[in-house]
Amino acid sequence: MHRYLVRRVLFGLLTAALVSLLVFALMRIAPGDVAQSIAAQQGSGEEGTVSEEDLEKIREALGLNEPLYIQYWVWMSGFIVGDWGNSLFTRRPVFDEFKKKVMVTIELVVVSQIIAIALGLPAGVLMALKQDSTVDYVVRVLSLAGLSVPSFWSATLLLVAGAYFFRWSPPLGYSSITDDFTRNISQFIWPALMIGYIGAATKARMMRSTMLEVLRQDYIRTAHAKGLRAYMVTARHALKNALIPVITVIGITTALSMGGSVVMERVFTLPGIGEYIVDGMLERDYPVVQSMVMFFAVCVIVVNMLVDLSYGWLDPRVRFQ
Amino acid sequence: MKAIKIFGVVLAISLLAVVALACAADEPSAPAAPQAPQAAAPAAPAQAASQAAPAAPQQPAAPQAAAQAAPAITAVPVAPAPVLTPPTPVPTPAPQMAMESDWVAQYLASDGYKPEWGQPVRGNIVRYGANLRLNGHDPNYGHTYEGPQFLPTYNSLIKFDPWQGLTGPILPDLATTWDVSGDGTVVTFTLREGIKFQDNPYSTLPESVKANVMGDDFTCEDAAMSLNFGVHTPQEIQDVGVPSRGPRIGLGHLKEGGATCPDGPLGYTLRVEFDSARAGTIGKFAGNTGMPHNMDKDLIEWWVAGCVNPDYDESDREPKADCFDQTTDVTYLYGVGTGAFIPFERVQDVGTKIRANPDYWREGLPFLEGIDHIEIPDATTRFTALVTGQTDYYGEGSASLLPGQVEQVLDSFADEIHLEPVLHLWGKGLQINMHRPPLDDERVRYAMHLGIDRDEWAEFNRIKDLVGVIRPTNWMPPGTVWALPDEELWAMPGFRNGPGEKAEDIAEANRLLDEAGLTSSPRFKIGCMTTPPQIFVDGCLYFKDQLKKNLDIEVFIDQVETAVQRERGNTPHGAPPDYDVHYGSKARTDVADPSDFYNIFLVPEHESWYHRGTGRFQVDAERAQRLLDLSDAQATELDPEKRREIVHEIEREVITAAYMIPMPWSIIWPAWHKDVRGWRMFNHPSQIKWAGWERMWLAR
Repeated sequence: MHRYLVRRVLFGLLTAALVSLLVFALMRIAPGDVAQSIAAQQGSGEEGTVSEEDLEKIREALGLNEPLYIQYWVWMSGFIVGDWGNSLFTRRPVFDEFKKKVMVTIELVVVSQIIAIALGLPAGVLMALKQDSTVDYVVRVLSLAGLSVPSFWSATLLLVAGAYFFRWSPPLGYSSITDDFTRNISQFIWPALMIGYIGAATKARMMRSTMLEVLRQDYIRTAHAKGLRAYMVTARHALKNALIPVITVIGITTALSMGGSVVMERVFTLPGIGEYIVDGMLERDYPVVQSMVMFFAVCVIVVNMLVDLSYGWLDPRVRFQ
Repeated sequence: MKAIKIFGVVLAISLLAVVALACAADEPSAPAAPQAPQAAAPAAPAQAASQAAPAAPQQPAAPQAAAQAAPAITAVPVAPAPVLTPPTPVPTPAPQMAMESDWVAQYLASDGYKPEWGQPVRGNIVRYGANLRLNGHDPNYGHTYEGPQFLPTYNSLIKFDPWQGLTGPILPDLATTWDVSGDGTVVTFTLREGIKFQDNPYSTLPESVKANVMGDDFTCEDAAMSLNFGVHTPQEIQDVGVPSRGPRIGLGHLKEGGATCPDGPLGYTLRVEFDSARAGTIGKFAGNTGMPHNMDKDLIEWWVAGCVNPDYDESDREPKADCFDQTTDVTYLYGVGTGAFIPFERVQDVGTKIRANPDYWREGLPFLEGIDHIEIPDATTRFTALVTGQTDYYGEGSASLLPGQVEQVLDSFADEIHLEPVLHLWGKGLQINMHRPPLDDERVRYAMHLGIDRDEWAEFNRIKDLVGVIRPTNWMPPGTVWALPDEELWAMPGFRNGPGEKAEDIAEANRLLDEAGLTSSPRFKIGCMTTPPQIFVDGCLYFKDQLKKNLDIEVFIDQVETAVQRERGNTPHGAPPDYDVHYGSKARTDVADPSDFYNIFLVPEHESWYHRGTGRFQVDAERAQRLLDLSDAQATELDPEKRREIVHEIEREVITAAYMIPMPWSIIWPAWHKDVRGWRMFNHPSQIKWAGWERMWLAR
């Protein structure tokens, strides 16, 4: 198990290093000059013309004239110790900004995943137990809709329908969970539902298929034959075994929901890192984008690692292997 | 199975309960209780009427005594009538209004007051759906979107009447009178006495600074420092990113250190000396981008000291915490002016709040207790927040209602929401990169101008009975005295639309293209660069359709991000940009002065990459120089009629030069709740409208 763990960590680190190289390179390959953007924001104004000397001055000041490997080293060495550099625009430390915003995104992801799991797993089990019944068809259609409809569309629909039919829209602004719990939940529940619906659909369909497979196993038949109650058979024997592939999906959808949070934060005016990263991308703010993408990447890697480790808990055979 | 059912029911109930809880928490909070009218303001009111300027005051409308609550205002079913801006090249002294000691009565009796507003109501907080966050609050940078978050903290010397806009009078603000020397190079302001800087209890300024600034008298040294600083911002300050380009262009002819105090720094006479006479000088003082907002001299000095490290190292990009350019929750509360509102709170990425200045020198104002600016970047969210009553005001400028939202308002929310369509500050158009053949050929450019049917564009922009553009339009804002008369424009090839005339124009365009040797099919292929907002993409799509249909020219949509557009367009001076044509907001006006646009279009010193005639000197240096000379001539011509003639000469020439292809001028759709009163928009609503916050109230 220890060797397994070490191997997973090493793979994780290698993946993170590759991601860092990729995002560093992509930011510089992408068209759009950060010096131009800064010049636009500075004295020359958005519309003013700019001289090559001004641009050189800005590049020099930002260290963009250094060789790429030095820029990469400065960034990565700083990233590891929590010095993520300063935003090229606001000149405020990226890590400080990140700390202010990250809890919003994490809360959104956590709440949406709770909803996704709470809706998706029971729905999947229900569909499996009621295979080919009306309930099965209805829930399958609903889950297919969840997979087909992008979250930004369903979010927009929620806003517009709420306004038209009920003269209602989700609350604006932001209250932290410690300041005002009720208001906080009222702000997060809607975007979390939008993201969670998609996650639930994926999980439900996966749960249904694995559950059906497990329910047809001999040991389930044996359990029934022994006279165990249906609940015991389903919950103790079938569900635990059917969960293994579903947990992989949970890991993937958690990572996806972080991406989905970017759009949801904008639509529901939540001050998370979504807007931060989008603004950074639009203005080619290298430290912001690089650090945020690295953060996302590390999250995905860690979640996947936890998923892999959970196999060992759910299925002893993995531990023995 | 039973357990599963029970589990399902419990789960469903739990979720419903959470949703219900969320819904319950969403109930909008009751508006703040109205405050009692402010006690008499301590600041002495205006100067004595004996100092009134010789110009006749505006004849105020009869006061509407005890007016009832204003009736619902509906969207006008047709495009707004064009403004008829009088030429303002020769500055005139301020029309001093009677009864300055009773500001409220004075405003309610003025021409801009709408009787249906009824009597002002005190208290309440207006919630403004801001589409952009506040990243810098240099008061010299009065951005359309961010402006209301910090501009109401300050006063200017003079200003256009925010209830009448650019067609209304220029009113005194911190200056009571102004006088222009015979040669037009010196303006002398008489400053209002008894004005004090705000005493903001929420300020985060260091105590030592507070002691020097808060409650300090506004005197000439403050006005002079504000003006000199705003126009001739030290390079070190510009280097750390204070985006105060506006005053530097608008009043750039101010002599270095040209603002002085002949009666001493604590006096009330401000002398402003310029390098040369400019016809638009006073308009710029009263307008937006050229309007320096007045700060305390000590605050500016502290600011400069904080921003500019004596050992400033270019490699040191640590934030200059004491600068105004990068707003934080702390630095936002540094702002101190003489205005109607004081900064109260800023929560990053959530919004800002300003509150009434209890000691405001215009006794009885503001009516509002405060204004909350809520950051809502998404247009749909901003719209639903408005129609469901979570905000009172929807965005601004280009971020006013989208056409689809206008239709929704007309269909479903006409009882609650007021629409006020007005002409935008910006006119749309296609900027041509004349460095690239065949666009360097004037015949080709002019053929493209002839070949597009502007009536089809107008129809495309129709929303029910409302037409979203004004045509015909060239570069000067339609309806102003600077624009070519409509009858002349309607008769011009390219703009005309009489029976068969468009067909004639298209035939002529094809003949010109044949003559230019472009006879293959398609004749040539070009890209139309623009950025993602649909209003811009639509322009390129229309251009593509028209050129293919009428001229057999292939156009592809070259849609790019803003950063890429900037890189490809804003090439360092002299280098050709990297696009064929660029669609966007091209023509513009700030104070309906021709130089607003010609400066950035024709004058190399001030030209903007976004608007300039790109490559004009390369394709025809003589013509470009002639247009530059004409631009200089109109800027310095103090006779309104002569100036207008010069402007019209430019307007005619740029049509045939076809540096850009003008599109019909856009209408924007500002919207607010019907109980917002004391607020109106006007055509070409530049930042000067933010001066109107102090007269706004909520009829609740």
